[in-house]
Amino acid sequence: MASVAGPVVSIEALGVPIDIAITGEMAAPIAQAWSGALRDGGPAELTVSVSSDEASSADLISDDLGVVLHHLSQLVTQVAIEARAGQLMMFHAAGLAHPVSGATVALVAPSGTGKTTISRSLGTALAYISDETVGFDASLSVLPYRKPLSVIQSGEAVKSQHSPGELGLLDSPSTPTLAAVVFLERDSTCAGLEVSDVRTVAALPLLAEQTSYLSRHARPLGLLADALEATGGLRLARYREAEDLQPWLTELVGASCE
Amino acid sequence: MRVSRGSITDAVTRDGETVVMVGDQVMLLSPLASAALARIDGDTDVAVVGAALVEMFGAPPDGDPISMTLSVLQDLSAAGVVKLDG
Repeated sequence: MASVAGPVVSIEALGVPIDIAITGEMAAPIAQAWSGALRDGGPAELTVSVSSDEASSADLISDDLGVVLHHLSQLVTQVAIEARAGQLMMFHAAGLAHPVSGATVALVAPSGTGKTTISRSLGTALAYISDETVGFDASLSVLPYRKPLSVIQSGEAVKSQHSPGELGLLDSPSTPTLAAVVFLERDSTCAGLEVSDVRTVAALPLLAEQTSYLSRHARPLGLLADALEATGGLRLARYREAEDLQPWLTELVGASCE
Repeated sequence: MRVSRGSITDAVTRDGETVVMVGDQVMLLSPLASAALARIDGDTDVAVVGAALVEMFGAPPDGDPISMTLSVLQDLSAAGVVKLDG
């Protein structure tokens, strides 16, 4: 990624240290939006550069803060998952955790099917791990990706980005650990919440479509199956509204740490 | 005719059903296809695979195990799971 001289916002995404190097006036709002992912420590090996100067060689060039924040999320996600390819299993998922035990549920769902809404709605009772990617290693340790959350404002073309703290979401527990995997299907005709178990062999093709860089692992399906079977197997949750999920998810992460 | 395994990255079998990964594609095989794949060890005669399927599932309605086996293997071959030769 191109380097840009200026303020640096140091973040961590999926355990990957990344520096956001900024020229222009956007350092403060970018730091605010990414405040849920800030890290201490020295310079990162990976840098994403942002500039409002059209003549610069920055990775992201715009003088519109909303546009920058929107594309910055995508860029950081791309950099982080590429850095973790073959190291972490990474679901397209929202992650919510028991705030004390760290028992984490990965809510797997394709883009645009409610992950952010669920994170915003339930992340005030369960800790916010991510609304985009849940990454975990072979020991099921979860590496949070506490990115800003996109919120649609009426009359705006680009969603605005808000830090988890700004939305009142709970901080990540110190040792989040994968405790359950749920595949979400939003269905407006559903009476409330319907949960069913999915056999491992049926779950693998479903999850493979929502896993980044799966083929970069040495034994991708074996690792996925191990993770599923260690966490009670895949659950399919058909739901109407995010609130329908809360009692069940709270019980799921609560029960798994007892 | 001979058959061998294709470029399978990984496979998981539970209760007689196998999921395979070929390239970036992940597929759940039918019990019949799973059994056929399990019987392929190196370069294998299709008749050997057919005999194994008959032993496990019984003779096909038309009484032609080779035709049934070839149909299964051709589907697997189209998906890159096996390679047919000859």
